[in-house]
Amino acid sequence: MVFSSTTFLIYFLPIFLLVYQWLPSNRIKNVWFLSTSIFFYAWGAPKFVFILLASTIIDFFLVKTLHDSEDSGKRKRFLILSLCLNLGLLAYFKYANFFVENAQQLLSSLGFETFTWVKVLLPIGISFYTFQTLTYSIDVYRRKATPLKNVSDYLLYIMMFPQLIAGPIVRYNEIAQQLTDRKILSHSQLQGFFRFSMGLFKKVIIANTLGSVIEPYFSNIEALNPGMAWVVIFGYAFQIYFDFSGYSDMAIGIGKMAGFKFPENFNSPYISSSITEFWKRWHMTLGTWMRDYLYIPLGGNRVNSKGRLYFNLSFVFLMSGLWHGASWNFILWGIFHGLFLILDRLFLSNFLKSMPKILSVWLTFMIVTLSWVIFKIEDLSQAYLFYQKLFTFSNFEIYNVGGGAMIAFALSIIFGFSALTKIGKKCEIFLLKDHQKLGFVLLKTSSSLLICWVCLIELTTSSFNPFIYFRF
Amino acid sequence: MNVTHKIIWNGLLLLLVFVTYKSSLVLGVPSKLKGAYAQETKGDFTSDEYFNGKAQAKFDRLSQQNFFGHDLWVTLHNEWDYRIWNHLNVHEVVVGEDGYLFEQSYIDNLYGIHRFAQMERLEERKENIVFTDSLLKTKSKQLVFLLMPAKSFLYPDKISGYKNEFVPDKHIHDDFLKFAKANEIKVLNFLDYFQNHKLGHPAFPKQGIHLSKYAETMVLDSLLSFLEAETALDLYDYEFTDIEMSQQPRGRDDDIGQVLNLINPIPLTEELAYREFKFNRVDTLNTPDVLVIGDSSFWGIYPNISNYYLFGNHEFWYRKNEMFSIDITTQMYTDPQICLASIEKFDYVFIMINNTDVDFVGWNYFEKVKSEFLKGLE
Repeated sequence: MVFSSTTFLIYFLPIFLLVYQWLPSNRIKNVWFLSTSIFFYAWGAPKFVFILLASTIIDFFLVKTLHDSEDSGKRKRFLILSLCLNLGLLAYFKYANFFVENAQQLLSSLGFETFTWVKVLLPIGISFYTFQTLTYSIDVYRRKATPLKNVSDYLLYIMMFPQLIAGPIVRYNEIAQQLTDRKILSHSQLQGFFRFSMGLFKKVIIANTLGSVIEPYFSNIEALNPGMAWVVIFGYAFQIYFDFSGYSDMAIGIGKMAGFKFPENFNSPYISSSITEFWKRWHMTLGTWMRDYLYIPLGGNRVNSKGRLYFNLSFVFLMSGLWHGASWNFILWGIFHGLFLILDRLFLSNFLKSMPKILSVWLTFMIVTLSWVIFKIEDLSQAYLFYQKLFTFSNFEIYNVGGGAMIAFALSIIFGFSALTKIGKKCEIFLLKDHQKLGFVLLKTSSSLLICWVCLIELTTSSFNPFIYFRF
Repeated sequence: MNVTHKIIWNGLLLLLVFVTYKSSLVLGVPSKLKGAYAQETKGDFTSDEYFNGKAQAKFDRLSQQNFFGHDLWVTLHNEWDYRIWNHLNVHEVVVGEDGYLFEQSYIDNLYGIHRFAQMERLEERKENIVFTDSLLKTKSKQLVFLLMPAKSFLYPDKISGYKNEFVPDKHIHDDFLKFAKANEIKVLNFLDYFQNHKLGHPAFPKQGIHLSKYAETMVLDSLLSFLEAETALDLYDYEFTDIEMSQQPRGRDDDIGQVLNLINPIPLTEELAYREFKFNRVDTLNTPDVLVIGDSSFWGIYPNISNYYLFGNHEFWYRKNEMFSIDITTQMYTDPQICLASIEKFDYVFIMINNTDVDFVGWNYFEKVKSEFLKGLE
């Protein structure tokens, strides 16, 4: 089930919220939350829900044993077991096809016979699920957090439907206390509903509209002229941002309505004035996860040589690319960003700082936009062709993309770059703040209702509604 | 303050659940919107459907189509798209100049898009057409193509942006006509007729995709005149009333306009011509047996033929395989045997084809005839 489906909006969410509201204690609310989360996942991936449940329960007991033991050797063994279980599932479901296909190509090119292989289907949300389970095992192992007492609470932490499918990645230590002890305030719930409607608007009105216009062009790159190629890739840059950040807003909003505080995932990433800054603003929960659980254990910045530092950066971004998808284009995309982070350390960051802010933001945006080509187009020869189109300075004819898409582009620019201005920043703070003043509450609630209504009308009267970020 | 917030929050929840309740009441209730589209029906689903995701997709569609006030939202949405963007939410339909409505595929064809693919498809059919024509000729029967015009070819200047587009000299129907001429296959070229004869009244209504009733009458008249000329018999007489002019379209004359589902329909600003007519069969013994294989263009003509028994033995095969006749009371479909039998059964086989669709000419009739014939020889 996806948040922007009518099944979710008309049936699942209202019923979930109403029952949740009227249940008396957090304990019982958690049971309801867990049941609905299992239903939510089983609706979209009925075959995998049992695997997810089984592995989560096993992991809970592995980590419990790890925590109860004082023997450091045993603790390490159980940590390794937990990591193997979770990473093993990820490796099998997400990467097996990729490695087998590449092995087959290699064997075939060397003249050996290939073997038959039944393709493994990718369970939705497995990358997010794995990263959350890893934080639990590692945080408990590092004694940064105590494990949960009940397996049902752990299942809720992992399977909580708002963030199960596409994040944000909620670390165990960020939410441990909230699972058992949280205060649900009505003004915060109303702000949650407002946040949810903002996300829905980003997804349905901006991302979907852009997607419906630009998507057909990706299947016929040969026919693109340079002008349209730029329109398409700018459109994609905005589409992916509003799609993903919209989803995060919806997840954070639902969390708030249920009394949880999830971490922020985006902070106007397109106003970054360097790639280093971009990664502090884009998919922040992944960035900080990579930093704390991979980059720092590798030595981080505190290494003896610059070579080692650059290796650490490259490795982390290679892994980040691979996390996004099991295919060469994602690996290249990770390398691309890793390379620019190294260039930032060498000279690029200082060079960009020496420029007027608007110029450095524009350059960074262009670099990020160019990276979306390899992110979006799996076939590398087609990606290469797309780059050729972008840099063939001959025909800049731009076709009529339709009024709806023009508005979506305009909204993308306004919302994507507004935080560059003082008034834009103030607006953003106003929108994200938990207001208690009745006037503001009423204003936000009524505008949320209007936005949800408009989005529902759009969803029920048009059929194009795919999410981008579900593959990851 | 907290109590006020609580009241607002609970009120909001009740409002959301009210929408759920109202939507669930109409789950599976058919929509009143006009036009052809797949409507989901409420029904049980199997565990297989659940595990392969079909049940969920079905419920999604069902909940989309039965959202509280769905029909009203659709019309509002359509109205917005039309008034603001001049865009119509009907598959393939676009608005041209002066409120003329067109199907995009017909416009594409005017611009020569897909012509090479069409030529390839037509090429594959040619041999089977010639074969069937020869077979008919050996039985003293006749194959006749009725080449009908697409609206885009008669009103190109009403297509938005037409003047800036490249229009090729030759179209797929030209290839077809050349082929028919080379093989001495009869073609009644209504495209040429309507293109080159200035009519007193519109051949296509602004809001229709088929010929106007006025033009349909002319086609029927031509068909009957053709049969009279071919048989050299006086088969029919005619009764016509005066032409009545009306801004209110009748029958299919606003068939696209009707499915736009707008709150404020596009105004009808043209006068369409209507006249009551009746063709009587005066020679009840010698009228030929005619099979017509055609598309929806023939639906405007079929009732007259059927109601007044204008042909002897008559059947209409709609597109691929649906069979219609005064004698057929249940749904029947053609098969290769029926196709081959038609060679014996009818004196004339009329294949009605739109000039933009000639690559689909006969909808596999010729292929079926030939394969079945060859099967009989084995």
